[in-house]
Amino acid sequence: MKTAAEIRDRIRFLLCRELDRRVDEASQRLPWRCKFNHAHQLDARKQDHGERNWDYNRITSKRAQTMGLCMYGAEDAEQWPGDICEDEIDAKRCPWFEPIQTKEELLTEFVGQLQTEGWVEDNLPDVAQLLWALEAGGGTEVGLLVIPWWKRVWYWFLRIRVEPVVQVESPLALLEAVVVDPEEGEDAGDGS
Amino acid sequence: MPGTVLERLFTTERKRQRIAPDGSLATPTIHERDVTVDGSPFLVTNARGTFVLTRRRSDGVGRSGFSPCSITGERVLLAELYRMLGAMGREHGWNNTAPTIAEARARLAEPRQVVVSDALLQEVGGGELSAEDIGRLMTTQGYVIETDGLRVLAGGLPAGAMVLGSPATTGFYTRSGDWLSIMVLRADRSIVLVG
Repeated sequence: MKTAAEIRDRIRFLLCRELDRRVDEASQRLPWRCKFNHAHQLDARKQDHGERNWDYNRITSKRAQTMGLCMYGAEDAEQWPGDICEDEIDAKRCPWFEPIQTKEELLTEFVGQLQTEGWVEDNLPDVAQLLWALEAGGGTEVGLLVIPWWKRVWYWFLRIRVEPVVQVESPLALLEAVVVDPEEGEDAGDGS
Repeated sequence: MPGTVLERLFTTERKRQRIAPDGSLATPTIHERDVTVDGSPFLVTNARGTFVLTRRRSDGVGRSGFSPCSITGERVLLAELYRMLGAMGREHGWNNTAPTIAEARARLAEPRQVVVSDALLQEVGGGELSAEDIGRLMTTQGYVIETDGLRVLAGGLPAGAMVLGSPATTGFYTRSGDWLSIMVLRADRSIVLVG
């Protein structure tokens, strides 16, 4: 049986962990963290008005049917190449990557989300359950969903640095190496 | 017992006040110490409660004056230090100001301490940290929080913040009764002001 104070500590811990996760993500070159990235909706209808949809397209992913497009230079439609920027390696190799948020915007967004009704239930279910437990124990109080002051001070000192661009001649170099057991491989080289 | 904010920023020394011929306590005026060339320029206290810029003498000695300053009046001298560092920086073109704490940290080789005004720290704390909390933490442990290798101290600054290295690299604090002498080493680069 946990006390109300322990539950409150756990809520603070989970909020801090979520902030850490966001900071970690903001430090990476990810397609959806770039301000030039546009999630283009794919046309996943096989048929359009009873006829074959020639624009039909879908990706085999559990994520939404969208495809990231790089909008860098899209003001000039004649010159814009319309490159796809969907996988992590696309952004990691891109010298034009620009973070979508500043450090201040990142914190403001998180604080705003915590204050939005229903957001915690949908996105931080662990926290929602702990809040429910506190309410069930008659411990409802205002100001539980706030980032602790010491974490705010830590965040104030923080400098979010986006990782440097990866320079490789071939994107294949970024793929994980596949280790082949020489005894099981076809080209074992033993002449048998 | 944790010391004052100024005591924590510098290497601290205490000198016994001498006895004047009439039997009263003598007024300390000048403090001399051997300094190295790379410690220049020095920002030192004078006898009027402010700071002046000075250099190492040819015989290798650096001088600083004693300002009248009781333990409880150190906030005034700390605020004056902040003001004079800003003024000297503007006058001599020092690169000693930064818009954010994060950038100020990046300017120093080994940032260790940051002094923040109470109001700014309360603002950053998002209303969770009161002036009483800050005072209690400063009294009991000598700093408000230590995070990411940086000690946060509060009290004394009217606004803004300043980031410093370890006391050994920042300078000297010499107290003799109600007189205080401070020598900031490498005044153009050992302390970075914020705000």
